[in-house]
Amino acid sequence: MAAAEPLIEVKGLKVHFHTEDGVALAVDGVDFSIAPERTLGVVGESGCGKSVTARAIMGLIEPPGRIEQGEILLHGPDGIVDIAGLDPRGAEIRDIRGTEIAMIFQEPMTSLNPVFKIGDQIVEAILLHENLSRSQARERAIDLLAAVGIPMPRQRFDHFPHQLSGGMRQRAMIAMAMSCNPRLLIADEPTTALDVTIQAQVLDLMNALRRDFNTAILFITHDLGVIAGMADDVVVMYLGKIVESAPVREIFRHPKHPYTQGLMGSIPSLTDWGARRLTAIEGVVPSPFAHAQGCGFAPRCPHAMEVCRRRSPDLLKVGPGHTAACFLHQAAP
Amino acid sequence: MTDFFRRYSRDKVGVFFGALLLLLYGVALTAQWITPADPMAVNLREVFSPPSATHWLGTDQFGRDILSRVILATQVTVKVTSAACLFAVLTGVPIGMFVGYRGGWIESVTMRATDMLLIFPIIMLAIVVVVISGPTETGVIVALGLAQAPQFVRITRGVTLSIKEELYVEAAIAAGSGWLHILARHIWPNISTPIIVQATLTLPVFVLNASALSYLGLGVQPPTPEWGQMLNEAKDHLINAPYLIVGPAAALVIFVLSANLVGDAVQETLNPKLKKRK
Amino acid sequence: MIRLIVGRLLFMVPAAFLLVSFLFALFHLIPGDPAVMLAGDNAPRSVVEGIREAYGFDQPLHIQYGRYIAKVFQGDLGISNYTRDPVVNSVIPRIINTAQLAFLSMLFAMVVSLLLGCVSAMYWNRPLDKFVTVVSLLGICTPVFVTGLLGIYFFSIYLGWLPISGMSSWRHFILPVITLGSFQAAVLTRMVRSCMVDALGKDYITTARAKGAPEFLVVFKHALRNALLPIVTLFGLGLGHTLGGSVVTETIFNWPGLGRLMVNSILTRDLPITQGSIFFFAMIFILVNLLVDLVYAWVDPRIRYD
Repeated sequence: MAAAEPLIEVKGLKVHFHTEDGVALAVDGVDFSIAPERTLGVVGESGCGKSVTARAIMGLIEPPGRIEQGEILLHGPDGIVDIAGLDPRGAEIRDIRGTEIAMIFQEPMTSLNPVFKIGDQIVEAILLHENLSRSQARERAIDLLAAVGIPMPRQRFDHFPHQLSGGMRQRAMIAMAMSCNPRLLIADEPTTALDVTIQAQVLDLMNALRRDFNTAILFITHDLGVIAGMADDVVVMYLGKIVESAPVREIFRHPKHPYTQGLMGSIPSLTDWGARRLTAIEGVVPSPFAHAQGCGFAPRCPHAMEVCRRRSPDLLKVGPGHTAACFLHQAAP
Repeated sequence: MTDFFRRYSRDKVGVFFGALLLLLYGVALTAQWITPADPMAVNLREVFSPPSATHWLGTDQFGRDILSRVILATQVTVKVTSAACLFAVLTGVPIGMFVGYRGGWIESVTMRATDMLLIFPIIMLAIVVVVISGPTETGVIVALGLAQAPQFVRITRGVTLSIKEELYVEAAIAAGSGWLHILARHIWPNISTPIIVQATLTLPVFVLNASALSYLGLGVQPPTPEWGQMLNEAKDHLINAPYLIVGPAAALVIFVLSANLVGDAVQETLNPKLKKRK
Repeated sequence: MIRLIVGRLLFMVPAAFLLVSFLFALFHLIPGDPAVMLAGDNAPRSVVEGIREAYGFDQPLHIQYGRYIAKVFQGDLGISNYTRDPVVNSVIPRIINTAQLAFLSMLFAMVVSLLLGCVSAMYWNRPLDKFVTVVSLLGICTPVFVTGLLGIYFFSIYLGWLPISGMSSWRHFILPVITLGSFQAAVLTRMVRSCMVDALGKDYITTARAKGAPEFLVVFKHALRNALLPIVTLFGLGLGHTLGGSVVTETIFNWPGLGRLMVNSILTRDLPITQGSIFFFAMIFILVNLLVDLVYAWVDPRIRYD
């Protein structure tokens, strides 16, 4: 990881949802940081808290959710801001959204407002933060549409979302997110809802944009295959906690945590097909309402030991830039 | 069924207004015996007496006891609206089931016709029917029932269509069962719940429209008391006897409010997802 | 879009035809001899027979029917039993009065319900939202004649601020419009609120917030513009119900509108006027319905541009 000052640091973040059925510990103590122009991949099954983490960074946690603890430090030229401490409907967080940090979502079909032209939606994003005339903003939006590879951007400007395909809509979303040159782009499963061929195109586009715009990316996915091609560093989340964190090559070569190993085992590989069977992780993700003792993965872990059911392991160093939260790699206390 | 009551009992608002509604129905059923005075007895020496210990809600222009008239009106309202609701169900549901099951041109013609009727407000349809059926108790029942029937046709057809696709219905068709048998044995048991819920939900609409008709003079005719008609009479004496409106207005609002809240509670109990969205 | 308009206009033809057929059927559906009804209950026999011949009630049904249809399409809906004026002459001015009342009430209801509904959705599940919900619940449980009587008593009799009935000055409009409008406002507030709560839960709202849009823009531009699709339909239905409610409101405030004309004609058994009012009411409802469909198509770009 680059030694330079990080762009954003998440420290001890806890986000809880207070519902009628109890308190869900959606994010339960998460630490990571992203350096400028780096891509951090966050992997995990649905419900592991990766999207909630992303929303917390955007300041988009709405009741019944609440940031209980922790800091989200955004390092800017004018100093450090703790996003976790800002009013989610206040002016300060609004100045960060879109300009410093932008976000694209999983569902391009529903993430664009169906009743406005896509061009106008991009223009709105620009005008919210920059002092441009409407026609200047319009030109910028058309340039952005061209930059994300939308053919005939001038015509597409006046189209409504329903007139675009899913891939094109996601490109438009990306154009909107990049409209004010954010320093961090959060991509929450941006390709999950797309066809495989379109997925590859969108990922290529994001890689190209990252270079052109010098943007850091927080890339959220449940698909390790996608992470391999996108991320510099990887964080694996399970039940609201980080279970393993390492540079991307390291984690693919030496996955330490049984959960990470399990995720790898469930990716089909073209090189050794037939040679091994895909292994699925036994069991299902426990409910976030059940606050059981011990390691959250223990009930599904093939290597679970007695200590795993009693105590929760800490995230400790297991290799160069590599940490894992598992007693298999720690001297039992 | 016990499960329904167990879950319903968790809804405090629903329980309170459910009890209130039961009380009003109790009043309606026993009206003859619980009125403090004869609701029809004219007493010209006691006209327009304000509320007092003997006449809690006062007396009207003929010296009749308002409280007694409100109680008897509760009975009239319950009778008329229950019968009208039943009438709407008995006409709307069989038609909806039949056309939903049969499909084809009968269905499209019927649905076109119901769509056409549904663009008219219920009160308008009811008024038009009353022109023909006459402003009697039966006439009002028929008018309100027919005016609401299209809604039941539409809902019944909708649920019938979805049940029709179920495998057990197709199996019954494949086994050669007749349509009447299928409608009665397979479809009706599965659509009865949404229809009962719909009937509960529309009860306050029946009450509002019944009282509106009688306010207009197109409902149950005097001397039989009805809330709307009592209010219409009270309007002429607003200056010297404003208390005349208190009884019928309060009874009407409380009845409609209870019926509305009970309907909501029943719906939420049967379909808990609704509550989350509210 | 044009196909939609043409389609809906074509739909009006069979609708109008069915309507006129129904009006004709009224002559024979209503218990009693139509000629006696038109002549008045105490009319001498010769007058009754004269009317029977003039209206052709002695002819076979299909000839009567043909004649009636022909007359209606020439704009002749008969003559009032009492005033002996052509029905059309007494009905048309009444339509304008009713339209004024219904339009202003609906305007009142729309403004109030949009404001309360949006604010309620913005403060979803908080005290302000709960307060609005309770008030609108009380509103939908209070019929217009109760609101109207309370209004008359309080503002006209007790305070003496507003006239009790009639429509000769703008002050005469206040009570009827608020009476009729507040009931509609209560009904619509609940619906606007639930449409807005629905819209505020959509993904594009998160997108708008993620752009850094301020909350009022999120609510009143992004959410409202989408919620407008169902809301326009609701307002259309609301306009229909307002017209329905105007019948009762007009009776409360002695408003010289079409609704009161219709009710009075039923009470006095003035069949031609009843037929005429039903005819115009029905045509108004069909037109309102058509208008709503068009506005709906216009609001939804998915329909407008396909």
